[in-house]
Amino acid sequence: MSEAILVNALEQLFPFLNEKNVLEIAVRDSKKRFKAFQKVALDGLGRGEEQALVSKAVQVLNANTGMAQKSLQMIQNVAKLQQLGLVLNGLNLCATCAGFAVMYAKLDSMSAEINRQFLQLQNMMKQGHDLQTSYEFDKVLSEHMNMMDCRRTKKPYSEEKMRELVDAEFNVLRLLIGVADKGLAADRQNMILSIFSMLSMFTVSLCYFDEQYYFNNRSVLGDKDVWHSSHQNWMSVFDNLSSDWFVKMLQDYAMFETNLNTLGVDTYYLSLVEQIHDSRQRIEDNQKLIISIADVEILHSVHDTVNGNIEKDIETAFIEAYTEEGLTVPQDLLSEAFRMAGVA
Amino acid sequence: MVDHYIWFSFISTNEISQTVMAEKLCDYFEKAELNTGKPFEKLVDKYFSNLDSIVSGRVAKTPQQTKKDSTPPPVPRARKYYDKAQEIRKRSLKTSVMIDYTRIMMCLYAEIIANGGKEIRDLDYAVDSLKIADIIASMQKEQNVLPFNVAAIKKFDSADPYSADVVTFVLAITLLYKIVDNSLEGGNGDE
Repeated sequence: MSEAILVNALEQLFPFLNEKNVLEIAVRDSKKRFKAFQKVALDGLGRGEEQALVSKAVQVLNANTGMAQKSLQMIQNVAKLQQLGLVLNGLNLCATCAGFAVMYAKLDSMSAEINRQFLQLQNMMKQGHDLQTSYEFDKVLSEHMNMMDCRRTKKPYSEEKMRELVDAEFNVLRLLIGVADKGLAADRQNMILSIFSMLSMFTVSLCYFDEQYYFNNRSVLGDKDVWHSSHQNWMSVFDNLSSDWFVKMLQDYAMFETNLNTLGVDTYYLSLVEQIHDSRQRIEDNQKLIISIADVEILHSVHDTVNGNIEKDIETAFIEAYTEEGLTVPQDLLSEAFRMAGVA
Repeated sequence: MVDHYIWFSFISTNEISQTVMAEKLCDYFEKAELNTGKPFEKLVDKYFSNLDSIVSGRVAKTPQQTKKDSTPPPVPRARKYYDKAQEIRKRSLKTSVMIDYTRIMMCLYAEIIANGGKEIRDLDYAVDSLKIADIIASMQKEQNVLPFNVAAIKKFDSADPYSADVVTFVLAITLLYKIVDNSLEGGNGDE
């Protein structure tokens, strides 16, 4: 950079003119950067035409600069507009994405809610089934108790009423088994308990009915087909109870819904299976007994002897248990036991 | 088990009573402990892991719940029992834990054998599904799956009679016999 000079006449600036005879002065802005080049035309190059030409040239230069600036401005504007457009598109996209995400989340929570409500509904349906089955069960239970009571007071049910009772018990037992099969019970323990209590009531009623039927109709039916025509159908319930799915259900219940270990599970399900087998055996033995004795009086005395034996056995068991502890046998418990065994 | 894994030097086979056998087994386990350097609990743990390795790959898995299922898909019965066995394994070690775990895993394994080594979905829980001779023979034939068809080696290495794998066999046989002996008479007596 050359050093500063002192100028007091325009002619001293002539060496600094560029090829167009224009002096360029650099203008700095506040930060000492070059802001613009100021073009200066020096006066005194001559009068007249040259001056006119120069002033024309200056005018054209200015006009050019003005145009360049204008186009720069326009370009800048266009760039700004483009950026704005991009930004708007971006915003649009975001809005769509966000909207989508919100909708998706809503749908998800809705489907979770639907699932939950569906499970609730299923549960309620199961409870509804439970209520229905307990209703049926209680109906039949009260009828059965009435029948036992009538036997006690020596006013036994007629054959027709017994048949209705057996039928009702059979149907409720089938209902309970059906509910168990379809897995529609909310409370499994209760359901298993009801099946087995219904089974024992059914066994007892069927034994009594067989007796009555045989002796009432022996003269008419002779020696073949001495049992009621639905007897086979009634016995089919035992086949159902001995089938694989029922045993598996008992095993699964004992294994997963109780705290029993494997030995306990074995004990549980094997003793229940045995009970089913025993009930069936009892009905069939009773039938054989009826046929072989063939006389109602003898049959009743056989029953009385058997009942007497049962009473004695229960009493001995109670006495043994209580004398071990050094206590006396409570009579009310004893008579309760007799009543429950059906011998009172 | 006698003559394969345990040897009696001066008692003949028909003189072996339960107490004699018990004492012999105690001695055997002590020797095994010294030989492998692992305490008895670790040997039992290895027994559990061995049983797990022959059963776990062949139990059907619960199908994945897809979006369109409204309820969770049903769990196969074999998988339920397998999960229960794993839960039992986590309890602190007692005889009942060993018996329970063995019972479930052996029933699953018996079903696998009956199914020809393929995946099972259900199992027969009854004690009479456990045929001890078949189970032990099948365990002896188990092979490690190796890649590239390298000559397969036996899974349970029975060369060293006091190794952890042989202890597995001894434990398995003892527990199986205990389970079968304890089994209750029941069910349909006339079958």
